[in-house]
Amino acid sequence: MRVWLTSPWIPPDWVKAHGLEPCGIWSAPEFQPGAHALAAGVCPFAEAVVRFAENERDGLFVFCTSCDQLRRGSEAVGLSGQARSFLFNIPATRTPAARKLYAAELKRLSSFLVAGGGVAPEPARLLDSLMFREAQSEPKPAPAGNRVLVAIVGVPLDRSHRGLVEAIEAAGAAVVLDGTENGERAQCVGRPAPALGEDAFDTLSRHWFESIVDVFQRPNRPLYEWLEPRLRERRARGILLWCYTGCDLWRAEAQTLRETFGLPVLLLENSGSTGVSQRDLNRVQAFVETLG
Amino acid sequence: MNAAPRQLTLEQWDEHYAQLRAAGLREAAYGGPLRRHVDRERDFRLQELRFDNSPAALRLWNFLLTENERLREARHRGAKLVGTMKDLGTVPVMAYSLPKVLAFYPDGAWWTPCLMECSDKLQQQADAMGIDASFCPVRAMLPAFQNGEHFPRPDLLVCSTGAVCDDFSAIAQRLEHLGYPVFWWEMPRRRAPSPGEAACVLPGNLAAPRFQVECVRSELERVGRALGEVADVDLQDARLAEGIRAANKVRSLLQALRETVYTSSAAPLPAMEMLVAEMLAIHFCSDREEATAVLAELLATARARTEANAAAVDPSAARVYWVNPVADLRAMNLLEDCGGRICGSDFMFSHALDLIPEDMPPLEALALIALADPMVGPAGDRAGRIVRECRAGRAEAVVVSRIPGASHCAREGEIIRRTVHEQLGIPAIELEVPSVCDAMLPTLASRLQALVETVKSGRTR
Amino acid sequence: MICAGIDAGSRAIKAVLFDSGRREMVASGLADQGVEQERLASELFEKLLQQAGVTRSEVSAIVATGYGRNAIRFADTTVTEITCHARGVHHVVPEARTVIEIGGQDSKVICLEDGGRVRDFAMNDRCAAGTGRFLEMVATRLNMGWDKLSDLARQSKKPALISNMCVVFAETEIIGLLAEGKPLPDVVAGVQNAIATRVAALAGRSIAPPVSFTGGVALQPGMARALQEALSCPVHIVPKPQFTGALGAALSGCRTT
Repeated sequence: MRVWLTSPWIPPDWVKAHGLEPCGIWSAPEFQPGAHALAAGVCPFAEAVVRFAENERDGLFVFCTSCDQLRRGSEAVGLSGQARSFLFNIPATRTPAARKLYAAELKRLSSFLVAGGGVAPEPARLLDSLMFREAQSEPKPAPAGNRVLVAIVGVPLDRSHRGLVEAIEAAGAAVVLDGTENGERAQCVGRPAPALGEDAFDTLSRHWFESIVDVFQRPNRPLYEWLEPRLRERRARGILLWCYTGCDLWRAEAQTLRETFGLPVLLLENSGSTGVSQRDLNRVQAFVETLG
Repeated sequence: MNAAPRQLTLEQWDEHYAQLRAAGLREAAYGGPLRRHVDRERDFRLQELRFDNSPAALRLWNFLLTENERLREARHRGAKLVGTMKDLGTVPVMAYSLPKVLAFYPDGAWWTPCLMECSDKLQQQADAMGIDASFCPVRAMLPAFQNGEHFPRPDLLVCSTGAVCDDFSAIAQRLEHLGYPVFWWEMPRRRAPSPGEAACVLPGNLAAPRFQVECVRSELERVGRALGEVADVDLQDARLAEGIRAANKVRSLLQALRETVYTSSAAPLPAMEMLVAEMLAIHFCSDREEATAVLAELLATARARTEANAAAVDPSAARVYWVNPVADLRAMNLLEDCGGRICGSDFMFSHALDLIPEDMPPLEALALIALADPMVGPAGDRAGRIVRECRAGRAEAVVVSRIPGASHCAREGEIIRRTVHEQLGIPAIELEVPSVCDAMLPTLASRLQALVETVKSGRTR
Repeated sequence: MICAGIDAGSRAIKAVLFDSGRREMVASGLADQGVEQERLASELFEKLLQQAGVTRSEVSAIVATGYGRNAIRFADTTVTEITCHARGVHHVVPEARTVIEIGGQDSKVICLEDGGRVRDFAMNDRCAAGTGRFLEMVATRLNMGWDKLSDLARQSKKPALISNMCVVFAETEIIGLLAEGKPLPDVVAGVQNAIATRVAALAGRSIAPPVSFTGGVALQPGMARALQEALSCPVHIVPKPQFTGALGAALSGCRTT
């Protein structure tokens, strides 16, 4: 049984430990932000999540509170009564109360997964799976040649918009840093180091909580601390900020990104088109030309 | 001094003020003619509004419009200023429990572009700071901090985060990036207790898991320590309990005022004054004692008018429940121009109108109130309260007023309207009110008139 | 009793005379809108009186509606177009539960209860996408009459996807599609679909069948089909759709007299 996750900060290890298959929603072929009519103010990504959840008959759905659009989108799904869905409260801060909240949410999620057909995880097996999980290491920058080196940050790049990376490359640039939500920030969460006196669950909870690096955090300094050395080491000369119309959290960071890193920032805002629009292609080309 | 209720333009108020003074009107230190706010503070919007003609309304407006002066004077006297953001109504109760500490909402700057009819240029300045018109009007707060022309820079900035609206959260984070450190505290997204889970009853007919109350309590404890450091005085339970009692006086007055006005057959006070009065709940307009006096006078006026059957609005007006505050105060006059009257309201802080429990440890009581915030839980909970209040106010229609750029408005309006239809069978519409709605007056008027027509045609059946 | 309804819309003024005894329209007409709205409305009204063989004094009430209603000072009263379209449609299609009205510069979705009372409504009068204005722009760009567009749309094999939400930018997109060699019928059908999609988004989940389609844009064949696909339910065009607002205004006059 598949468990569709709307955030990379809901540990896939935890879902696997229940004998279920974790899948990021952005990996689903049927998931197409931009394919639906939108009411005023609704984010295309959030609407696509809601529609996907309403139509998905076999899987379980885990919404998250990392943004208002998804948080309230989960209510719309709940009202339609179509999906087996759960709203995971991902804390915004790193206070002691937030840490406890995260752990409590993992336990609550466990009850949901068991009720949905999963198996309660055995501690020993959980510890093994954490210790031996594949830790994806950070990519080594490829030789750039004459290409302009850029970073891309923002919301998840789903399958229908992967063409953006190709468009960037076709314009003569190379993406040396994928800081999107389903990019390196979450993919490269390393193996945890258990602390003394901690059981497997505590290790999992602490490790993932401390690994969260995202725009919704308050303060969101960890995001900038994560970006800074990578932008510098990989010699990125510009940042493409990828998000959807209605994504206030990312859009508000455009100016701060410019001011903090002193790099040009191109805001690519998808207002609800599938694929990469001509307008976005023009912008990317112009951006790469100015950097070149 | 006990003239029949009327709504006056600013010009008419000039003449009326002279008459009141001649008849012996006594005012607080911040009193005076409304006109001076146009001349001194450039609050040009007052020239487009209509105001209730009572001395109580005059006092209310003067109280509201002199807040920035009050804050500057307090700073000059050595008081500590705490800017409380997002959480509407809980942290100020804590701040006011401490000696020589005032709390205010920098978010309140959202009304400045309206009042100054954009002559303040705050919105353009916010654009230049990277926060454009697609964000909610609270963005005016950012340049207000930078230029210091409105409120003084607070000694401490406290902001709730987590289950909050995205645009506000983004604006507050931008503020921090601009060099204003923020003390963030976590607000969990309220949910119903799971079967078998220890639960707490919250004010407003809600419930939440004990765990969440404990989470908020521990966060408020942290906030309390930060406040104590600023005041150089510990925020002990005894102080907090006293602060809660004082806050409850304000809340009791507001409850009585809402009851008197909203359940009356003929509204003794107009919609705009009710909106402004309710705003006093969240931080007492920077003077808790005076806020109590202002509300007491308004309540006395409302009661006297009700007894005398004196209506401020046409008694046959359609009874409308209003959801969300408006960025342009003029919209409240417009409702009445179109044949409606307000009979209930949810201006996004209904939890700040409920009494804070006084029979339990103060921090626990504040945690319960904070978690009862309508914006922190499902829109369905909010809709449930709206339905109950609609019944109490005999509402014939509901208006959900969208705030431009506000992320919560994208979905909650539909849930509220659907719930209202299903449970009450009355019409509910959405409309959007920008900071200066002049260009949109015809379209807003069409919607409100159509709503009133729908209501009145239903009355003849 | 004869009552008159005048719908002063943004593109045209429509007027009807309604005989409450016979429960039918006895005259109807329209004129292009202009700056002197009241004069144009008055001339149209006089023309209808002649058409019906009725004198001014025999008209018991004149009700104005529409965007320019407040300019029609000779009207006895004004009623909003939401109420008028609801009443007009209910008179002609009593079983209708949802009314979709697409005019020259706005679109509305009106939900009705039993008896034709308005239960809820949503309007788009701030953005040209989802209104007849979009079709006018296309007609102008293609140098053809508005009414010829539907002939073209009928020939479409695969409607183009118009992604832009703003009519101004959509115009650029359309030029681009034509330059790429996209067949004209597909582009026009794509425009119809884009309008229908915007109206469907306005309606949200409030659609309850039967759905009646009215307003000037309902006269364009193909639009009802486009709406049907967008809403996933049958859509029926109201007879004489451009007059429902004026009819509803006249009916309002009969109610109050």
